Amino acid sequence: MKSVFVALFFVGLATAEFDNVNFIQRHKRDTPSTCEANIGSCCKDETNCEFDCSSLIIDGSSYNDFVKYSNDMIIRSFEYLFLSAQFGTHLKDRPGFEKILHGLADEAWNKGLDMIKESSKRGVSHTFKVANDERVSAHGDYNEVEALAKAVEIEKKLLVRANDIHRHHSHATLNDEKAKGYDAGIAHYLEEEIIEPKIDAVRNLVGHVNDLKNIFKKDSSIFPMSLYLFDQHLQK
Amino acid sequence: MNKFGLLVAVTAICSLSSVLAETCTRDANSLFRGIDFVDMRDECVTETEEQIKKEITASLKYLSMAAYFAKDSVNRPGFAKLFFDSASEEREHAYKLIEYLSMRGRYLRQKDKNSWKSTIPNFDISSLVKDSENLNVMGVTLSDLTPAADAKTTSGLIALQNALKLETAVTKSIRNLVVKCEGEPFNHYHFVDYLTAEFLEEQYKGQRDLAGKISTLGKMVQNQGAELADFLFDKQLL
Repeated sequence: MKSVFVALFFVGLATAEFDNVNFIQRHKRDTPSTCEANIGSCCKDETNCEFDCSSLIIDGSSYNDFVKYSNDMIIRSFEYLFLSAQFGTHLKDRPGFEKILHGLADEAWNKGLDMIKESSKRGVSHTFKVANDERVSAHGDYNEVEALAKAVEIEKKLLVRANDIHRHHSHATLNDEKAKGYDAGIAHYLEEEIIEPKIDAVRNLVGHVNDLKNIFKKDSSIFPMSLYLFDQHLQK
Repeated sequence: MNKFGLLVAVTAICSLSSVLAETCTRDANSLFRGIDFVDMRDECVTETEEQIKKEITASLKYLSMAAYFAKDSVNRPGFAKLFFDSASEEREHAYKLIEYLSMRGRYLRQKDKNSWKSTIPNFDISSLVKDSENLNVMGVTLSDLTPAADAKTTSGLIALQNALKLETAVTKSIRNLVVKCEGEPFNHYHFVDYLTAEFLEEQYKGQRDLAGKISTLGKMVQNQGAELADFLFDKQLL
């Protein structure tokens, strides 16, 4: 029995080693490992020093979706900002709704900037030219429930996309020759900084929408009063 | 019976939607009938909207400059920080103007009886983001941040000069806004005071700060050791 366990242990070890070799072989050719090779010639002849030592460990184009996503966060931050401003007007006068939407705007802006910094750590040259073409649509008239429902849609779409980008950079694509996007650091960053906060944001907003829906369904006649009280709750 | 059932259902849906319309999109404007407290004029509001767009444009331009300095091949974290902060500051300016319009009752405009739209024109933020790498911004031509090999300048110095050009353009635009909003037939005393005290104050201080930085770094860059000067100056910005 003991020998079976020992055998299994070695088989496991061998498999792990095989995977590791496999991983290195698969990714080595995408790794611009020219730093040490070039720096030698650079020190001998400064006129022959035209190269950048890069932090890239995989092909830079693998991060295209990550870059696009960070641009989209910037765009969404303005969408939320315009939406939030509506509730600061005397006609709507809902400081609680303004606050929650402004919070989403700031979060999207700060995370957008943080993602640019994060991609620069991976050696990615950020470009804004690949921004999404989708137009910001928060210029229309939104009532309180519609505004929260819109926020749910935006956050959910961002969450789904973050999941897709995570899959591309996670070990799920390790055996996919076409993907070649495995980057544990980026996958971890997405989990901690984007996906988890987005899960909380979606849940929070969906809860608000359902609360308002249920209150409206049962007591529609006093809905303006309910909105007033709900707004006060959001201000806390 | 079926027809009756259908009628009941339709009536129920109609009453629900009318309740929704009444409760969710109440025509709040009717509450202000006969009370004319919103007195900011169209020409001033339109110009303010343009200014908001310019603040956003400047914010995104700074963001693209920050991204350049954050690259591993450029590696100037101090300059990156300076421009990331500037981008956030310009965004704040845009929101301060939006808040001002809101305070004066001019952020939302009535579209029809029960609906409103933002007075902010349908800004195509996506295009503004895409265009943020262009060198032509607000009628000003900026220089490429990567200097030519034989140029006696550095990325840092070019960026500071670009930033000063940008700030000067924003200041000029605020001055034009002041001209539009003061004088006859309706003088927006309070708004002009706000622009002068809050915005111009910050603009002039910011410009002086940038000019000082250009001067200090420029003197170091003049002769030999330009890259080292850029490197050292960058660390001071952290």
